[in-house]
Amino acid sequence: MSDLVTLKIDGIEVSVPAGTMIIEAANKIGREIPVFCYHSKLSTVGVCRVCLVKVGTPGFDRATRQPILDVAGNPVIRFFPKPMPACSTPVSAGMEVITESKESLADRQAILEFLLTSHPLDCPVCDKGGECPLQDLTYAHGRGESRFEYQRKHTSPKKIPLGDLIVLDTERCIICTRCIRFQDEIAGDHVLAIENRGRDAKVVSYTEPKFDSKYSGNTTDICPVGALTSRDFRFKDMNKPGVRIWELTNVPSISNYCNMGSNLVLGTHVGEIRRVMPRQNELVNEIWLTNKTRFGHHFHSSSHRLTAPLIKENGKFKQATWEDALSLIATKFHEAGEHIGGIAGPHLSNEDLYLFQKLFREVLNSNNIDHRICLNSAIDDDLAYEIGVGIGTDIGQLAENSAIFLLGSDLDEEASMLYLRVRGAVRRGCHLINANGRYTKLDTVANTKLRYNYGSAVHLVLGMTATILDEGLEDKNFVYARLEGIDKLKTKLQAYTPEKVADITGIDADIIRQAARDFAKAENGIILYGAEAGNDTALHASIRNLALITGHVGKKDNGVTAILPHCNSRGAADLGVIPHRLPGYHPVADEIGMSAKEMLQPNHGLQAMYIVAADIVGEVVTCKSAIETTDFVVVQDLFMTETAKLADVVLPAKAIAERDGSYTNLERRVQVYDPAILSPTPTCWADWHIITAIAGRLGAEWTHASADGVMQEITEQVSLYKHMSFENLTKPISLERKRQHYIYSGMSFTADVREGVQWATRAENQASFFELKFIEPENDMPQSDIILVAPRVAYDGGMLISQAEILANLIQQPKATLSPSVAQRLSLSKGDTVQLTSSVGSVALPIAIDGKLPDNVVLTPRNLAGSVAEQLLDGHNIFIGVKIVH
Amino acid sequence: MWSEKEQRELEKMLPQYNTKRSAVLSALYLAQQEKNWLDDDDIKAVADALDLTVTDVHSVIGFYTLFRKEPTGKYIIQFCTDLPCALRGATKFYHELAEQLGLPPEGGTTDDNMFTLEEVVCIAACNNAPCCQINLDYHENLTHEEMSNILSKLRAKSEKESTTQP
Amino acid sequence: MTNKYLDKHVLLRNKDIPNIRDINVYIAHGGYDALKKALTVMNPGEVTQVVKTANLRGRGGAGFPAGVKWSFIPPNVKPVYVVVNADESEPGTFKDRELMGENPHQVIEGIILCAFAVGAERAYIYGRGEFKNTFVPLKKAIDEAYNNGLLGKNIMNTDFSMDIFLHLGAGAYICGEETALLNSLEGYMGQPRSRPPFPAAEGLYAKPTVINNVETLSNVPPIILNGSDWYRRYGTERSPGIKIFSLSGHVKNPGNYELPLGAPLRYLIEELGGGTMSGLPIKGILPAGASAPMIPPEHFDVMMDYESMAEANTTLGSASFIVMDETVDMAWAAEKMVHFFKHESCGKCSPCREGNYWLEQVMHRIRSGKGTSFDIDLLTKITHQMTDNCFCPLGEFAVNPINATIKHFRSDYEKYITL
Repeated sequence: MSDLVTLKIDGIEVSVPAGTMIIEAANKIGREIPVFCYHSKLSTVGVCRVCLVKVGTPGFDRATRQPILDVAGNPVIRFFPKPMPACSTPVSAGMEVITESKESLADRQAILEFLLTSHPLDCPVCDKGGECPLQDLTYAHGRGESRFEYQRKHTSPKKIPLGDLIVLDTERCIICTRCIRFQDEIAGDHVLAIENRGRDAKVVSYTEPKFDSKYSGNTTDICPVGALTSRDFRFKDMNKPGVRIWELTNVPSISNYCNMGSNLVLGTHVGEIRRVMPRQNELVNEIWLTNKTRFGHHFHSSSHRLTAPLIKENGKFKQATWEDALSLIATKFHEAGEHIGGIAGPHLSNEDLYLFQKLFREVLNSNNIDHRICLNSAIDDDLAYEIGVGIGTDIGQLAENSAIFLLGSDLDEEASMLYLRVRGAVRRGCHLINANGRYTKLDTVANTKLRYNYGSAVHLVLGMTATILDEGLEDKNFVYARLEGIDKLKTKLQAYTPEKVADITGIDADIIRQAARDFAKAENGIILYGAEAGNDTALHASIRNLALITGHVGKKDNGVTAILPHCNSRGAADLGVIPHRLPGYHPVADEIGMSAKEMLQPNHGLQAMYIVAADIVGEVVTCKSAIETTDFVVVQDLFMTETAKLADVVLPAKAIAERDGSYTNLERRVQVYDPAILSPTPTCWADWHIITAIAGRLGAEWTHASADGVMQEITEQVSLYKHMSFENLTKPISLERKRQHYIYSGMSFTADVREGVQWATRAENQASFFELKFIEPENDMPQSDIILVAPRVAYDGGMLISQAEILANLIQQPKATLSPSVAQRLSLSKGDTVQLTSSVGSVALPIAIDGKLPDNVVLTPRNLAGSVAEQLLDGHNIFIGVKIVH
Repeated sequence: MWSEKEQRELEKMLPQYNTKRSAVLSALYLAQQEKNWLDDDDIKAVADALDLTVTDVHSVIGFYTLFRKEPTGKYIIQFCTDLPCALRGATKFYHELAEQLGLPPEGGTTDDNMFTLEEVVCIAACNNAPCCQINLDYHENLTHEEMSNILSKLRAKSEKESTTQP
Repeated sequence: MTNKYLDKHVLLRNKDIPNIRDINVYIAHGGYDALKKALTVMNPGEVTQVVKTANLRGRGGAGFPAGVKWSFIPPNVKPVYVVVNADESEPGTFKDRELMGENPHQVIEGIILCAFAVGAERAYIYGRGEFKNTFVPLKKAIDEAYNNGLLGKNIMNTDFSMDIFLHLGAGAYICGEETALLNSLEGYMGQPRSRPPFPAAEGLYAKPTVINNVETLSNVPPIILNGSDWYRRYGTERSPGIKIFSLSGHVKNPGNYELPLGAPLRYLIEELGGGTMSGLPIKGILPAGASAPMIPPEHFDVMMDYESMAEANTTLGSASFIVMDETVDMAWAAEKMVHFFKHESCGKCSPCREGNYWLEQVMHRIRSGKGTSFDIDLLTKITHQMTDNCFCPLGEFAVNPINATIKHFRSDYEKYITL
């Protein structure tokens, strides 16, 4: 902890760590100093000069080096002759700051006048109007009249599209460079810069593609004027009359696209979502949103929404009443008896998922349920239950004393919000070990880059673990007090020394050793692992051992997190939508049910299937026949998906903004979203409501009348969730905590800052005991010169995102990406098509070339339209040996 | 223009610096050497050679007055009319020179693309006003007669170069 | 006898010794003796101490004591860099160009001495882009030094090794500001950095860096060779030593003149400069190019040292004296200078970026006869709003030409007011 320095701001004493800037110290006592260029999330540049304040320090006698005191014995303060920028002047002991001296107010007025000489006074047609810091500060401190009678940059270009999403009006720009710093520092996409100097300076982008960084929308929030605006909300830019921001009703919600559960605000107008803004949660998304979350909301208002129950008669859907649809379903489900299966998508709320498993287990007496639709996307373990990251873990604060071991995931694509936060941690000094079989974007900042051969990630982890035990770097107290089986593990690991795994992993022994030391020696350690590391019990056991022996479990900023694909994948696992576990990770007492993988085999033997919020056919086209051969299929969704088309009954559900509910994020944080708009028709029902109605038809006497009520039952039935009542989850944070937050000025709405609630892992119980388990890895390495790798990407071909026209150009089309040398070897050039053949199937794909890809890898994202990659995968891993033919 | 020759020269320079980026001004001088200005290909080449984004390179170009993105004449005459020179008749000299070259008072490029004339601020030769730089070579204590000589010599040189070229 | 105050040149030795740019001539006249002395009989701390005792003040304009600057370099952080500021761009300043072009070895020797004193193994000479071809003879001199074992590995067969690299800017006055220069040298736009951290702590590539002007370093070899007492015989108590004065404008004999600090302004203008070309009385003198307030006739008897100039409400700066006779319209001169600062404002901070543009607009309006007396007041109001509010000295200097000319020569403005 750095030393505290005490100073006085406007007569109020405040103590802050040495090195704190005046502006932050002032913020701590609720004194807001105006800013344009300063932003607490960005580096400080001190250029706008609007934060100038009067600063003095105690005078010292040169001869005696003692402070000069006045008659009353107080130190005499000597004020600096010049005003000081509060954003970039560090505090010092005994300093006195006057934030609103006569001189500072005059300076503020001067700076505002200067800025306005370059700014059109077009507030009536500016989208920023009403939440514009320049407007607000001019109102507060500006001159009443203008003395500038010359050109206000009216000739500067307007409406420059920076990619599909953001529009730049250079004439409004005040060169604060927040957007440039955001792109460079936070997002890591160096696509913006200042061109020219003096008054000709302007923000430009010459990079192609210009500004379709996954995070660019955030620049419109932090732009202190209306220079950067989003195409989605911009005045008259879309085919809809504009709406002023003060006409919006703002409702707190959670992203349905984000596995971190980004907090957001839905700005609605006349029952329609008009824009999505970030809602600050320092533990989740800070103040950022991904573009996918920000611009992907259009599915709510899509004209393709299902609006009434449909029953298929003679191969054609006919509109039906809920009464008829529910009766039919009850009859058919009853007939099916034990030959029924259910698949519920991990986009459903906890309440929906809980009732879904309750319907199957208590009413239909079946364990045939699953949420792992995409066969190869699930990471199937219960490490989160045992050693998930400790409560209060805040990657947004990790710094020098911490290490992150990222294994087998491209966070930029698979967990974009986590990518931003990990990047921030590295910027603050956290040590990042990025291990993967290929280049990923975090390599640009990683301290250690490990490139393993696909299938050998487990050997890498074993090699690191062996090093730690060999060099005595384990957390001895933790090992002694809480672990069993360390000697046995040591013996087993003798076969996995860094030298012995160097060959199979392709990583130098010394580098493995160094990575092990870096991870073990860090005070805090987090392991993030994704599907590119593999998905088998040996891997999960090795990750568990590594975390346990280093003691990186059971406390804040320590533990493991699986990079799960969807916004509520964790909730689905927590609440037992899985054939072998009940809610709360209890094993099923009776027979284990069928997994999705088994249910979707052609000879599954099921008579009825209930599929909720899961476009199985859309995601894995090969599952089509399994559904076709089922006698009776009910699909409950928002759209007529490829799966719904095969159903006998289709039920219209409410979309997220039309109801309430809760999601559990990757880090086990449960968060509530509120209802913001009405459904297209009253015949759309919330999923939990539909499930309750079906249960009722089957004789159950459930009394749930609200999502809140369902959660009440969960808190009583599932001990992990005992603190998750909506009342708890919607508690605003304390005022003290709020002061530590930075709400960007100019925001037109006040939204509750809620931080959600995490459930405690087993390791958090200090009395818990762990047995180290060693599982011999099988040789999982694809035996081929070329390995197909099929990770998930952010801009997928999903039904929801496809409804957002504004994102249409960003949606990836299926292709096979190769390294230049592979392309050369096969005489391939851009536009060519290749045939990829694995042991499972064969597909043709157009190619793309990427110089960063290793020569033994062909990359084909898994979650794209047509689910091409799935046809090549064996349902075990997301990588497999393939042959490529031109 | 960016060819292997420029690439080699740049690579010779790189060890002088801790970062590749430090060499960006040097690289831009190399790229600009042949035709006095930078086209999109030159900029892309410099960006690639130094692992910078094209946007970054544009940003640098825009800041410094000696880099240009518009075509210029073969010889760029940068004539100082800043205060010390103006006190010694530089402004008048400049206007006469512009007229002589058939150019408007604000300067520009001659029809034959031989000369680009522009007014510049101080070039640190105030004691020898009127003065100018032609492709960064100093010409000081100018008289009109001398200036005419210099220009005709450059014209002759250029013609010679173009006839000896295959 | 060079002039009444100096028997022979200490810096512009090219004026006394033909062809001193040749290394053999330089060596024949005592060149690199100071380096030999430093490397063989002195330690780095002693070199710094001599420069400190001599109270050699920075010749780039700020006048900060060079030895003190060197002593700020932390002893345990490596590498350390020396950066030579050769971005000579202040209107009316042309001394460094002559030093580098005509007496380059003295510059090089000064750099090596500085590097030895602060423990640097690399020095960069950052020259303004316009010096591209001026650097050719300097490069030649550096090559000669390498060939004579004065640069590179084991200089003069001692343990000390260092390299000097030449680096060109590309046309930006602001790069004369030391932190802007560092950004430019690192390949960025030449915009100044926030201080702290100061370059001595985090300069080039975030390492400890000494930045000195060409002329400052040219003073170092004679100081080391002859000692600080010798140096302090010249100049005044608080402004000791020798300085080059660049004289331009309406004088008969413009050029660089070497004088001890504290010599009378009148001597420079009348004796060395030969008075005005026209023979007409002088109306005003700019002592530090466009950056310092103009000296009106009542202060023409000022002595040219840092303290006396301050007493006359101006600064010595880079000591580039631009002389204007009574025919000069001071509103015109101010407009020239405002244009200069507007052209050179880097655009980083709002008061400088917007203020200079606004000033130029108002100046144009006044000078085109469309202004009112309100506009003259507006000029001073704008400069008042810029003062103390800018990020770096450029914006602070930019107000001087206007303020001083309005103060002393308001009638030159008023004559344009017809409305």
